[in-house]
Amino acid sequence: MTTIRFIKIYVLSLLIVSGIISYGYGQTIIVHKDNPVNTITVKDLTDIYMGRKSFWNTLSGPVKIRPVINNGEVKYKFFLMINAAPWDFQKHWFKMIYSGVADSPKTAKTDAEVLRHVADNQGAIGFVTEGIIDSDVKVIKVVP
Amino acid sequence: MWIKRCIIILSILLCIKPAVYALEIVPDKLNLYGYFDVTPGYNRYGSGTAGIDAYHWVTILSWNISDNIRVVGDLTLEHGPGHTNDEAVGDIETRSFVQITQSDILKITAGKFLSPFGIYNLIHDATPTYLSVSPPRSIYWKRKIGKGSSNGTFIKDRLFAKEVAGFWVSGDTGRIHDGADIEYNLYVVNGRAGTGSNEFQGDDNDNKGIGGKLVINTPYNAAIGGSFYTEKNGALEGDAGITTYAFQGGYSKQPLLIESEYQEGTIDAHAGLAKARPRGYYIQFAYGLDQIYIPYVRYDVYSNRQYDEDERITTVGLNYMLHPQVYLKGEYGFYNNVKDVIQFQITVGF
Repeated sequence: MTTIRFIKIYVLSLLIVSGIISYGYGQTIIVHKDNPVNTITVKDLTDIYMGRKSFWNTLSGPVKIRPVINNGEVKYKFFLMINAAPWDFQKHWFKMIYSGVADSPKTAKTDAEVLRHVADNQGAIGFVTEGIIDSDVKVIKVVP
Repeated sequence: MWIKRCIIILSILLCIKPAVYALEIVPDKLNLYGYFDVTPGYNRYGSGTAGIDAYHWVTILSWNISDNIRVVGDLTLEHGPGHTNDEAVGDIETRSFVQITQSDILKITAGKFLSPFGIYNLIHDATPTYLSVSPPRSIYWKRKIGKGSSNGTFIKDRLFAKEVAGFWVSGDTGRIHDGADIEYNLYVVNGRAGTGSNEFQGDDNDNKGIGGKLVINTPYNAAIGGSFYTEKNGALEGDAGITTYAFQGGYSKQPLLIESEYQEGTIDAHAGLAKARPRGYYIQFAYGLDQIYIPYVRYDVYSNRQYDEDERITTVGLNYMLHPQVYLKGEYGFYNNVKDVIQFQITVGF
């Protein structure tokens, strides 16, 4: 197999898998039910998960944002959406915590853990598999 | 864009899972972080021998008093500190500070902290965060900066203070309308002191160390910035002044990573030495298609332009991610003025 042919097959395989993953796992962004936010931009979502935005600006004053990372399969689509490679994400947060600038986000193993964290914390935000929500959280829409 | 998406997908296929988490001692209140590394090598620190360095064991505690106030304490053990019958060996360093966050664009920090200078100083010892075994020598290692106030011998130190006691104001604008994200830092500190004085307890002169750093992260995968630091250095005869400027640039469009810094300091004439203008700079290229094996090459130059011959180092290395929290590194440094250096490292972050 020539090198060029190998690269073509490699890239094609990646694109196919990219498509499968992009459409295979839907995700829903959730916040605490008392959070007045109804929509969020991809930019704000990225800033929150990279530690650049740490407060909700609400009518009653700033509220600390408490992001949670869902370590289930749904995280793959989430990382695609915020355009962050897992390796970059890891390094970025190592830098943040070792320089003392910020605490790392919480992690959860399952959708259920994410739902519980978001329901219990006023400033929380998380992502869960599409369709898996309950009445203790609020779904917000992601806008470009 | 599609290259980055492919890399993200590839990372997923290779099961690279981000492992950012805190060891929560008290949920939402007290977190424990840390890192460890061990560094075998040949001719590290100019020894001319092969050896193993128990380089770092660092623990960081972060206590959230409230949503806006946190206290951070860091205990750094370098080179396996211990006690023999006659003397202590290795280094023990501590840092602790309180951080009050008014908003994302206004944080006030007070205490003892690593100074926000250049690309590396805030993560000076945190080997899991960077590709190479140690930060670039040209800027982050101690050098002859002048003659001492106590016995007139040369003082070896950086052109800026690595860790300081004082106040630090910082902030981050977040990305402005999908555009640039701007980070700023300003700090006022004791400055470095002479032998017998503790610069973290007080200052031996009325002059204060002042520093700052501004970084603009552009939406084009590039970041540019600059740092400065100025002080009257109590370790130098006559409290000679040092003023240092540095410029940094980085480009990160996967799989390509480029970073570079230039630093130039001015040290006042003292102890019979003329005014000195040492400078250092480096440029580093890395290429990580699969984000697991990342080869890198760095060209690093330091010139004190007064005391010694210029130092030029070409470093070729490989950073291998064994696990998202465990990295293996190996590098060969070609030196122009001393024996070459070979070193390896296992580093673990938690």
